[in-house]
Amino acid sequence: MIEFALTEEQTLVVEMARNFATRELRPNIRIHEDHGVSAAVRTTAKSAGLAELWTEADTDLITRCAAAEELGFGDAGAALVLIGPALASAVAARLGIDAKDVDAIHIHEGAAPSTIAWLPVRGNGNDPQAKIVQLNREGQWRAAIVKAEPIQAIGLHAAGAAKCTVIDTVSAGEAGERGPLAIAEARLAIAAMLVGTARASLEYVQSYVQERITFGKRLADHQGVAFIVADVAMVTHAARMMVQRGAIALAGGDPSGAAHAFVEAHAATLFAVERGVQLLGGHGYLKDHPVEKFMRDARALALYAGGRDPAAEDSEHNAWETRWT
Amino acid sequence: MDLTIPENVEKVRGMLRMLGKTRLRPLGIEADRSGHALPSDHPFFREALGFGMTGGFTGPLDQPDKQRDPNRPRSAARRAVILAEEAAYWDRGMATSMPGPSLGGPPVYLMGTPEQKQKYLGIFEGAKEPCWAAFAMSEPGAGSDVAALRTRARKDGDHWVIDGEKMFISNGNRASWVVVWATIDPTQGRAGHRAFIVERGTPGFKVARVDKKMGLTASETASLTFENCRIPAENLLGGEHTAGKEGFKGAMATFNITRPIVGAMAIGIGRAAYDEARRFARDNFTGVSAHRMYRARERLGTIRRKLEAGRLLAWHAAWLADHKKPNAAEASMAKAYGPPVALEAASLGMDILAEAGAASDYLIEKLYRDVKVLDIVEGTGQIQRLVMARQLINHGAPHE
Repeated sequence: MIEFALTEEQTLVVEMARNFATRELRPNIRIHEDHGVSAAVRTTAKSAGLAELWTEADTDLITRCAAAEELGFGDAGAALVLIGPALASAVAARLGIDAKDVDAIHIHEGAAPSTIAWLPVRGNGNDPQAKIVQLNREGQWRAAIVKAEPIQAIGLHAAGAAKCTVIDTVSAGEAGERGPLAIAEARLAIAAMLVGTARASLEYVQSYVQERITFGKRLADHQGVAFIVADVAMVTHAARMMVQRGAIALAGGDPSGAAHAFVEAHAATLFAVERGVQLLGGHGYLKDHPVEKFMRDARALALYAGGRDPAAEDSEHNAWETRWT
Repeated sequence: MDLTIPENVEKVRGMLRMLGKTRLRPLGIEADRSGHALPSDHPFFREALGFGMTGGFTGPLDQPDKQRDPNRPRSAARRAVILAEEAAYWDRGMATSMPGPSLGGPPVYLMGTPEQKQKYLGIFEGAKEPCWAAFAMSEPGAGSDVAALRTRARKDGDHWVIDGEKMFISNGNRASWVVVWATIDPTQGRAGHRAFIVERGTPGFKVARVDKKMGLTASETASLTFENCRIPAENLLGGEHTAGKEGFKGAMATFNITRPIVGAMAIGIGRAAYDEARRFARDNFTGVSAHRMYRARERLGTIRRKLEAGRLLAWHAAWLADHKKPNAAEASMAKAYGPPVALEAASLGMDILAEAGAASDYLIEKLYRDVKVLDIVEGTGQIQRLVMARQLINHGAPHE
């Protein structure tokens, strides 16, 4: 019968990720944003085995998505630092590429000599480099060394945005049927992190509207405010369900659910984080509160894994070609 | 996690699909065009009994719970949302008008004494003649605001005497019994609410009128009046000792089961709209501009995603209900999300069909009219948001 409960093992992993996100990421979001993820937090993440969730092939997709949601809830930028390379490796593995030292994945259309990515930069300041796997929707992939020049970006500062220009192709090939599966893996992880970010904003707002008094009563008691909180919770919950369903579908070899999930998570999260800032009024615009960061981070994160429009195109293709019963 | 519909439910869904294609949809269209619901003595209803399809697809009563392993959670709520969606796909009006306890079932199931369950739900087991029940909560001055209901009940010896009016009562004109919500003392607010079972033919109980509606013609909706209507004391739902505690709480518990069902029904109608629009576009869009084709595909993608999300919300809320976990927020989410999404599906579908979408030659204009009411019944979308907000503020966001 239809069952939504996680197994005991899945629950343990998710709780571990939740605890890590709550204790190590959330309290440090501004520190990580300004100075990068601390060595202590990286060490804790490593000992918790978070990255292994993506590099160990036997970890199921539901667990991966649920853990990614928790990390996105903690701090999406820091989460990208901690699991981004592992996620890229998982995508590479789906392509059949041995690329354990890959730093990021870049999903694009046509030729893409350069891109913006949030990734760890190696080498010295004069010659910053990284290794990325590029996969286009036409099915060609290549593993490449890129020149990674740090740039300013709207959000995910903890992960350090860089303009990446290919300087050397290490290997290349045709993905064939593996391509859509690899893209789906990336979409699901990012969609889950988006849902986590939406949840972070919602949770902060829920607390704020109970404390803030306007016109002699709690913000929460103004119906116009309460309805927004309800709508944010509803679409966030719906997006989470879609991510979980996408994970089940991909586990069965169907990548279309990930495209549907990405588009829904994109819409729900951008709605949630913008409403989060709005509900705090002027305070929401200040860095005294995290909602402005959630809004910036979500806007950047939603561009990852190829972004919304290609996912929508794949989703629409599925809606056109296959009947749904 | 598992989102597979089990074989036994899939089998029933398959039968329902056959019934839907050959009976529910054609009869629903017939009712819509004639402007009248099928009369209660229509041969189809007797025929439906032969399919074992009683229950109106809306209650948890048609699950073979007797064979259930008591150590395992119920699956009735999940089964109900799956079948309700399928029935509504073919015709929601016909699904609602199917013989069975319909919305009257859950309160008796949840709050009734063993004797009441035996007497009132028992008539549906192995019924030889079609029979119905109904649920009467809404009033002219108390729709979604159920706490404001004004129908009075007063004790008079071994009887309760009911006075008041009820509106929007599905199958109210043909029900063998009706669960009627009334207050024993308006000053007590929700604490004064009680539910009573009023049998058809009880003196003082009248059907004031059968309503004419924008859609869902196949489902008969009635206004009821109760004037000095005397019923036996034992018809107080739940009995004298528990009724006070269970009054409003009982109503809310009922909603936590029925709201996901309404959400699922909306998804069923939305799915029908999606199928209609998709079929039309695939059959007719040869030679149209790339822009028009792009618009159609974009709309179908939007519809499909949102409907899938709506289905999952209904399934999840039902899963919580089956596991007896709190689900007030999730039930309201399913109810608040499904109907507007389904209306959007029908509306975007009509845009795909263009002028043809307005014509009754195509099903989609009927679906557009039919689905609107689902954002109103069982608590409007606004009420669902109030419920959600209260739950979220008091208990936090759903995580499970």
